[in-house]
Amino acid sequence: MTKNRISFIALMFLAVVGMIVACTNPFKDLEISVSSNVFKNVVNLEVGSSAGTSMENATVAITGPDADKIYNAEGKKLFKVTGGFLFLAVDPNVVVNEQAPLNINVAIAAANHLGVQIPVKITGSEKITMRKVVLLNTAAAAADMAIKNTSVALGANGTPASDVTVNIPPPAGASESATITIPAGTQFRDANNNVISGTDLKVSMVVPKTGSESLAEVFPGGTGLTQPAIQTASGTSAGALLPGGMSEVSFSLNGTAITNFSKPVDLGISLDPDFVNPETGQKVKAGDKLSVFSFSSNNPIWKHEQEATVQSTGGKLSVNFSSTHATWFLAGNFVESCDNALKIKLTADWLKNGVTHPVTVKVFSSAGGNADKLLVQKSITATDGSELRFDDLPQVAIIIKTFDADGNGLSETKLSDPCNGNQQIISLAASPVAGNPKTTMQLYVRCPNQAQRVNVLPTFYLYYKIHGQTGYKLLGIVTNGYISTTLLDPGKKYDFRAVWGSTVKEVNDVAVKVDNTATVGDNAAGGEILGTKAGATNLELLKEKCKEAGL
Amino acid sequence: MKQLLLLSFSMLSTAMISAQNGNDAASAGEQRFSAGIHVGTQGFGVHVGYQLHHRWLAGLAASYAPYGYTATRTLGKNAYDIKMKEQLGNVQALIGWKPFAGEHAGRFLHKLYINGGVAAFYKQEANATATPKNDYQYGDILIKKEDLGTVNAAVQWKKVAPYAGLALRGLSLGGNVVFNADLGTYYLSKPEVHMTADNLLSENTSQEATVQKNLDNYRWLPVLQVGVAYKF
Repeated sequence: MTKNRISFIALMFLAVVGMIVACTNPFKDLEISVSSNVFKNVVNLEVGSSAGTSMENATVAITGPDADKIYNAEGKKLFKVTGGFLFLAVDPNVVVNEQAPLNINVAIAAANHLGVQIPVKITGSEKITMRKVVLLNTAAAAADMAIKNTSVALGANGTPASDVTVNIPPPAGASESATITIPAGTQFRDANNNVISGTDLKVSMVVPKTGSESLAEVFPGGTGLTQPAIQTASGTSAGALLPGGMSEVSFSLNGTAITNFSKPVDLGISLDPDFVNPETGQKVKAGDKLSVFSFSSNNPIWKHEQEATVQSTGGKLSVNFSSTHATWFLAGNFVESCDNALKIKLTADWLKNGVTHPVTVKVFSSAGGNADKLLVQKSITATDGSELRFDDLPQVAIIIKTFDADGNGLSETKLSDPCNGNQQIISLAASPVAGNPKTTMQLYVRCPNQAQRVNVLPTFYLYYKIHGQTGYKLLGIVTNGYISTTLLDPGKKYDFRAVWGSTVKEVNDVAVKVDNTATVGDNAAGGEILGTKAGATNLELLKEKCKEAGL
Repeated sequence: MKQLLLLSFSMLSTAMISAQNGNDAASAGEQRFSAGIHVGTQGFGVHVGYQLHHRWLAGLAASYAPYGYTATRTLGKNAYDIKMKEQLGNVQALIGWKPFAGEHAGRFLHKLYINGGVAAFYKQEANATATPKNDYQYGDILIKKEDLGTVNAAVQWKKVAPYAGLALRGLSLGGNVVFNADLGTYYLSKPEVHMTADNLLSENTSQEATVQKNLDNYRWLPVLQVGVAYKF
């Protein structure tokens, strides 16, 4: 009897203890990871060539007062154009805002291209800023751009025996051209002012069509026609340069770049007859006064050189002046900038519920109520309510136009006063290429030795094209592995290219569905993907990334 | 909450009336009431009891337990300081039955009761907050641990839970003072986990399902407590 009682108590006790120890470790399989997107402010430069060639071999240098705060996607100081992008990220420990912006200069150089120096101001108002940079290919002509490369034989003393004139004809469909005359006896000097000897003088000239939209992409300074700092006759100011004619002139003697001359050389720049002189509000005419500005890659800021009077010769308008250095020259006008940035908010019913679409916003000067010169443009992966800002817009009437992924116009807004500091709300008309059902793409990642999927997902740029066609187009920024779009047609097959930091991956021949959830992993039988190109390499890459993450 | 208290009192009242009308009620003059304090796994508290019958005992108790401790764990690649904070407060209504009431049960077993009842939890917080123990190296960038963020998991159960267990009641300590002890468990509802996170750890809320799965079996809340009471 006593035995039974003791057994009863023992059983009750064991039952309670059993309940306690039966519980699972609350931390079992729990992995807390730091986000792969540690950066709060990113500038992504889409770097291209006017000749359409790859810029992967371009050299990049970051300078300026805040260069030490800039890193690549891997948190390193190695900067490279990958997949057409140059990714610049601000040290996440640095607080950036409009009161404490960062200023850097991005220098990009590539063989057979004019190098660019791009001032970048990071204010924090846009977490991801996208800008397009196009390097001028000096070996191949492009639309809206005339290029001339020629050789001049010098005397044994390294100077022309007589005056030498080089003329570059206008680009197709344009009137602008340029002429340079080098006086006899001119000596040629390098950047250190050393006289260079030789007999084979290479002369390169570029003349852009100043009325074309493509000018903003290649305009020296890298910020379109708007510039954060311009040395004017009365000091340094932000503002916009409105060109009536432009030319770039460069020389090399026996392979050494020439920057200046012992004697002034004469330059003549033919003007676009449709150029509206901001001083008069009328088309440019003989007798008008225009300003001549220059821009040298050695000191990347537009500088006022002199005033020049417009002359008419044989029905062609031109300005003529002298200079002792080789560089970019611009004949036109400077308009000082607004004190306030222009803030824009995009709204669209068809971009509600998280749907995104790559939208380009272009700001034009206004002439006679019509869009004139493209001052600056920005691209954004927009959704309903997206905001962006434009700095250094001139104190003149402007026209804002927005375009969808295929260049279809979505809105046109005329602003007589862009300086009032008010937020401009722009309603976007429905894009004709975004009428497909909403498709979502959710990418998960599972490390090869783990049962669970990784909980921290990448943010990357995703491009697409219909399978078999050429030319990728931006689909948008995939945030934490997710994007929702109406650009893709369910049922069709597409090729995708993802650009994540210095990593570029392509997945081809993918039939799109409304829900395109996919897991990157090594279980092909389970439907996981590793990409259709270089799967073994991708697996090693996945393992490496997982190892870095401690998974 | 008010309804639960009313329920508890009505259970106790019913039991008392039933006992008073019973054929085997305790003899007149016996000290039926007791009041005391206790301490144990559900914290500290007070309790009152009433001997309904020589085999039946009714009781009410209130307890409060503030727990908290910090531990360091490696979760994934990095180590985190995990601060646990738990506050449990309940009002408990119990009925006890003495299984060994015979004369030969022995002094110890004679005081043994099988308890059953219900508790209303007026305070029920269980939180775990994970903060990185070390700074984080990303490439050449050192991100301070303070800037990485925190991950918080909050666990909730329903406010009412049944209770069952064993109890020793009325072991004399001299005079009218007696010693009591309890061993039992609550059976809680299935816990609900809610995770929040911020800054660079914000994406870890996706781990909610994992924590939920791990805690699904956390339905038994054991009780081991001792106390003293005064009989009158």
